[in-house]
Amino acid sequence: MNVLVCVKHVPDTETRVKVAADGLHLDLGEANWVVNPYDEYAVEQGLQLKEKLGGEVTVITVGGDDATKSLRQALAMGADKAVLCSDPAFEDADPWSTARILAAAAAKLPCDLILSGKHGVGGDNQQVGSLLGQLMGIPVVTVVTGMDLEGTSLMLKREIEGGTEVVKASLPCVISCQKGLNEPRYPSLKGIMAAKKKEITAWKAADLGLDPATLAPSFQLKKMELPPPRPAGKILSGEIPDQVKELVKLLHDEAKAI
Amino acid sequence: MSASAKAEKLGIMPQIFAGHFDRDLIFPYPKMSADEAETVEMLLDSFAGFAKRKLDPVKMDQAHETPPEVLKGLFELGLMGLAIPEQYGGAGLSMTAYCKVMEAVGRHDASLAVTVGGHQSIGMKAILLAGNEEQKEKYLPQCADGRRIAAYALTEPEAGSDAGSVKTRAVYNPKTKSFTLNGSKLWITNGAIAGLLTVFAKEEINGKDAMTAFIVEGEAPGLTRGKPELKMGIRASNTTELNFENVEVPEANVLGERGKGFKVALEVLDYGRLSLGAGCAGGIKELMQLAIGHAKQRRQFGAPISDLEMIRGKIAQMAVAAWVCDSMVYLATSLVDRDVTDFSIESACCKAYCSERLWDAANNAMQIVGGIGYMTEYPYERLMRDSRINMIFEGTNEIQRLYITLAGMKRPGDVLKAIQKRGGVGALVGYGTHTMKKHLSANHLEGAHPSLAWHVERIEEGTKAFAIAVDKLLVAHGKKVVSMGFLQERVANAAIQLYGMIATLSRLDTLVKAKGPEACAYEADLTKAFFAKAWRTVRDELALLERNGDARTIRVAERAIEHEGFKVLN
Repeated sequence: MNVLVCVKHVPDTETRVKVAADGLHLDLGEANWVVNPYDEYAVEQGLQLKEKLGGEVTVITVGGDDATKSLRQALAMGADKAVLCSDPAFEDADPWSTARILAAAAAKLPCDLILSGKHGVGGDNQQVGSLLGQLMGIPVVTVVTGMDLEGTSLMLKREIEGGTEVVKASLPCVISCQKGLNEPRYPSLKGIMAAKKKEITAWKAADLGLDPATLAPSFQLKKMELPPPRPAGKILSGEIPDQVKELVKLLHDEAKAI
Repeated sequence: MSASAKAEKLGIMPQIFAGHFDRDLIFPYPKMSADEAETVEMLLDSFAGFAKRKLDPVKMDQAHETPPEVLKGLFELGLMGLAIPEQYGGAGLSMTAYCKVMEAVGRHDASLAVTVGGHQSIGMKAILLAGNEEQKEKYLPQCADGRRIAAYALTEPEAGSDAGSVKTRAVYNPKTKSFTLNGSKLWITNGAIAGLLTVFAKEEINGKDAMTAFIVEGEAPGLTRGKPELKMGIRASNTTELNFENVEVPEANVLGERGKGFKVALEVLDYGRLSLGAGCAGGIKELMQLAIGHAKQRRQFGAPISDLEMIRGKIAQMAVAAWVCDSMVYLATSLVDRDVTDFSIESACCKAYCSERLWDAANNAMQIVGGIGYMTEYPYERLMRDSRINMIFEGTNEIQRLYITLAGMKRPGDVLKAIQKRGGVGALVGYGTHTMKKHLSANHLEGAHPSLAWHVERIEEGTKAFAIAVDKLLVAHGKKVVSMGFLQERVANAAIQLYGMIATLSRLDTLVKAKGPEACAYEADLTKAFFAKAWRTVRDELALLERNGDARTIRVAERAIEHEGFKVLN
């Protein structure tokens, strides 16, 4: 089975976020960039399918040159090929544009199954996987925590409020992966060395037959700000019965908790 | 090709003993290739993830054991074959890259660093250095993939610091073309789990005892292993006694030349001390991070204790130590990577200095966190216990100092000997002052950034005084320096500080040239903070060579030894 895994290069979740001076971007100068953690489940799942059924795992990302690092990481885990979709026109791609880029690329690649993380940390849009399936006209199953192959169909477990849903999907399809699906492997030193010898294909808008003019974001970001800092706590003083009265009053009038 | 077959190339320090600066080795401060740096970064990410999921240093410490699945995981990650060339199934990393990894391992858990280092820093190192093609092909792949964990077996009950005095015997039997080994080894890291042992034993060659190195397979009949020793620290590492009772070793398993085993033993340790130093540098950084984390959130007198000057002083001390240790270690590892054959003095400097700074850091961290540090539910007491061994094993720090001085004096000593031969004692008069001064005044450390002129001056004047002092000592004492411990300690202390000054200057200089002086203000402060003490230490240690209280120290020690304790007039 040939599997295409969509990955995203993201700042790791321990990054301390600062808003840039323009108020429209994040200042990520000091961030440590990693493969989106949910995408690691997707890569692992792809590798397990390959080990069981043969075929190839191709990883793909939309991003700048620095996103090569995430592709390299997936290659070091054991993916066979990597594609970097990079073009100045892709720089501000919103989820819709990203899905269009990926769909155009997927059409050029042999794939029986497309895997992605349930969402990319940072942007947190949770849209690309679903939009990709829509654009390609194939089934989409999101937030998947279990996967079994039955003939030419997949039996999939997905998390729903208070329980688990079991879904059957025919191939090809798009699956977005959730924590619990598997335990992603760590690249071994051998894998890391082998990854250096694997080629990363770069595709621009023209290679994908996309008109840059149609890739402009469909929404405009107006402002970005951090949540207000938490005010200092209040320490009451005086006799205990008075303190209790004061506390109740504050909880009622000020905090509006009671 | 074995290392001993390479053309001799001196490191930085042997030349400092003669008052020379090897500019090409000092500038610029070396760095890994971008490709190797990326490999190391990715491997360390993998290791961090593995450690987070699979490693529990507290549990391992309490259990006095590293779980087999952790060892298996280390092999799977490729961490056990870092230095083995690719053709034998390893990664063929440079010494610098290898030590970067060992630093990270040491930072996470000292026991693990000892297990990993016991395996490849020293356990299998003799095969890499002195093994023949057949031995490499047979054993190295097994060491890389986990079929055999390696151990280095030199120490014996009667042969500790005096490693040359091993009693384990090897007797050659021409009929079977094999050796029979008898004897016992003590405190062998990985002793119980090793499938491959590098064993050093004495045999009679042409009527004289000489040491030979052997590869002994773990399954060899007659080899028995003692119970794991219960230790103060690095508890999860395995340490046992090994007994050899008529253990047959085929001739094909002799490592290097028969009778040249002691040289192999020492050469292996030259490498081991570098990774040990790297592990110590990692330990200091870990202690720093833990202690600062605590100091920032612990409030006393209405403010975080990190605001208090006496706490800040300790934090600054740790930061300077980390900077110096780091700089020393990776300058030394780069010597190996640049095919320097004699880096043993730098290696000994790193081992002694970094292990002592780690101990200081453990002490500082414990003092910063106070009572919490003393409680076993926090990591500080374990880190303190773990750090203590570094001043003892792989040659005590006293042996490192003896070695630094004697190895460093060897070359100037040879020069003096040659002069003595030519012109007799008369030729020596004034040599130590006149010739050397004249000669040295021309030798400058050129090429540093102009903003670092003060640092260069301190190094030049320190080196000059040092080389003159070394010469004077040789003229005055000759071979007797071999038994002069105070002298050895002082010369070595000065040498260590000089090496630290050279290493930090080199690193700062390279940074300043790349980024400009303003961008490097913090690194400049770290360097200056070290220099401010170091150049005085050099001066003071050298002054003490001439005027000291040694006679009194010896009188006090002698009385105490005579009384076997403390006894004074009532």
